[in-house]
Amino acid sequence: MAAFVQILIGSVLQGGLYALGAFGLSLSFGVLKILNLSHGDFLMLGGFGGYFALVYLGLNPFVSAIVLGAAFFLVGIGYHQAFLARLSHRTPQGLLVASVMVTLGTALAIEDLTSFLSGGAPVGIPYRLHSLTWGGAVFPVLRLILLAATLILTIALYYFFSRTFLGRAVRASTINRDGALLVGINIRRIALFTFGLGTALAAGTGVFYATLFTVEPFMGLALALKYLAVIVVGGMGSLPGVFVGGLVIAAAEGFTAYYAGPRWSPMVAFAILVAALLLKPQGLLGRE
Amino acid sequence: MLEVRDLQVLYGSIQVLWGVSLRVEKGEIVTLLGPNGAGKSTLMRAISGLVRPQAGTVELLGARIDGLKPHRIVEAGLVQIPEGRQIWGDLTVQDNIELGAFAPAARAQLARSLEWVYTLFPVLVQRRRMLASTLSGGQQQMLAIARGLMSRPRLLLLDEPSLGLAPQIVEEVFEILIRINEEGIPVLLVEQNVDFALQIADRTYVMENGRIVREGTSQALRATDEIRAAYLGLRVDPGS
Repeated sequence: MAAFVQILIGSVLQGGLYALGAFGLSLSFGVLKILNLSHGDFLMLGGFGGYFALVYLGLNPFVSAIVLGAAFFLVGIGYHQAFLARLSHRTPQGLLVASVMVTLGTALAIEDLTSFLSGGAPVGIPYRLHSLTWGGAVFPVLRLILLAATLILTIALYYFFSRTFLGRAVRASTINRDGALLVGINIRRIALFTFGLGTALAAGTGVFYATLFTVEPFMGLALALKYLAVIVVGGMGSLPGVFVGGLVIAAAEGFTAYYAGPRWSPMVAFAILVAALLLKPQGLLGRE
Repeated sequence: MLEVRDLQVLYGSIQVLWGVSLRVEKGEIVTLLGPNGAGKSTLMRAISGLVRPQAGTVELLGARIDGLKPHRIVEAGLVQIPEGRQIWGDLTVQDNIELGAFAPAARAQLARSLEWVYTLFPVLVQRRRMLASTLSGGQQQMLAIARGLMSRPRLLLLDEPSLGLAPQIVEEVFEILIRINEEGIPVLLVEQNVDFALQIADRTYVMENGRIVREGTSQALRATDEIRAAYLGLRVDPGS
């Protein structure tokens, strides 16, 4: 029972991180209709950034998550302007294929470059806090703070997407692009902002990720595929679905690792992805 | 008010509009009729900036708007209520309406505009917290019009507002269009429902194969046998 609770707590935290990481992928797919395979690499870069910020500047990871998030907001905008904006006039299928090519190329370039510059070894942010024990279950304080940060970010995102003009316009652009264009929503600005936000979230999440686990240069593509599983399970284009998908995948991984052995857990996300595409392609919270 | 001159639009190598010209004057309701595939929706999309014309000009209030981005055209004072409504089903009715005032100038008058459209469409008031997808077809059309009005347009374009609606609801929608027009907003209306359109429009254009083939006052066009036979489905008495 204690193990069950422990895994559940771990899954909520892991699921929250998956959701925050996958959020940008879902946004760029929903609003921009592009599949960004380099998305996981921005998380990886955030993790490395947080590591170097602590080692060389002594920056607390919670501070560097905010700083790197802001910096990568601009990186995302620049990346979109330079490589992706020019694809936007293509047909939906053409756009999807072209975006996969461009972002795959970017992903490979980022990964090789990071490996070359960092030496290629995995790094974890050496920042630790003590643990609390309560009723037989162990609650690591760092994880609890990260969980709280994840929840606060989630609530902030919910508020942003349901209350502000800009956030609602992003959702409107996801649901019906022509409708948005015709009432005077500047889709190009929305696209840039959306991509910047997704990249910022990926980088900020990367700092949390590197604090809990380790990041290494070649993790990005596998991570992007796992995030794809998260958004397919939750429902493409559904923002609450991202959180449901993140929790489902994290819990499945956690329980598989405990009951069947850790070597089985990396394949769980892909098994779920295939099952979801076969059985419920619109996702748990998605629409037809 | 609106002056379209010699507009040509190509989709790839296929020419859809062959030099279309039309105008809408202050205070008018103008309707554009024609069979499916005549190019009516393409013309609307070109005026709104969703499709770039290869040649020709569009002027609104004396200023060129062709080549502008769609949101600039809305800011210039022209809004289109598109075919199939294109509302956002997963957002609430209120969200849909408020987002119609996305442009900075329109957002500054948000409260006044809300009051205005809720007076025009009281049926939306008690449904404002519901998801737009739960509305009936007629209510969705009213929502689309309400959303468009939030940008405070100087000219309203409507593409097939009667599509899929029961005759009684169509009548209701058209009555609201007349009210909006009486508040000083000229209307350019694309319709399949020829009978209704000719009743409320001051002037009419008929389009076929990407060209304007006939224009005149609605009254004059109603009287021509050709229109009656082609679009009203009325039998023309060969003896007369």
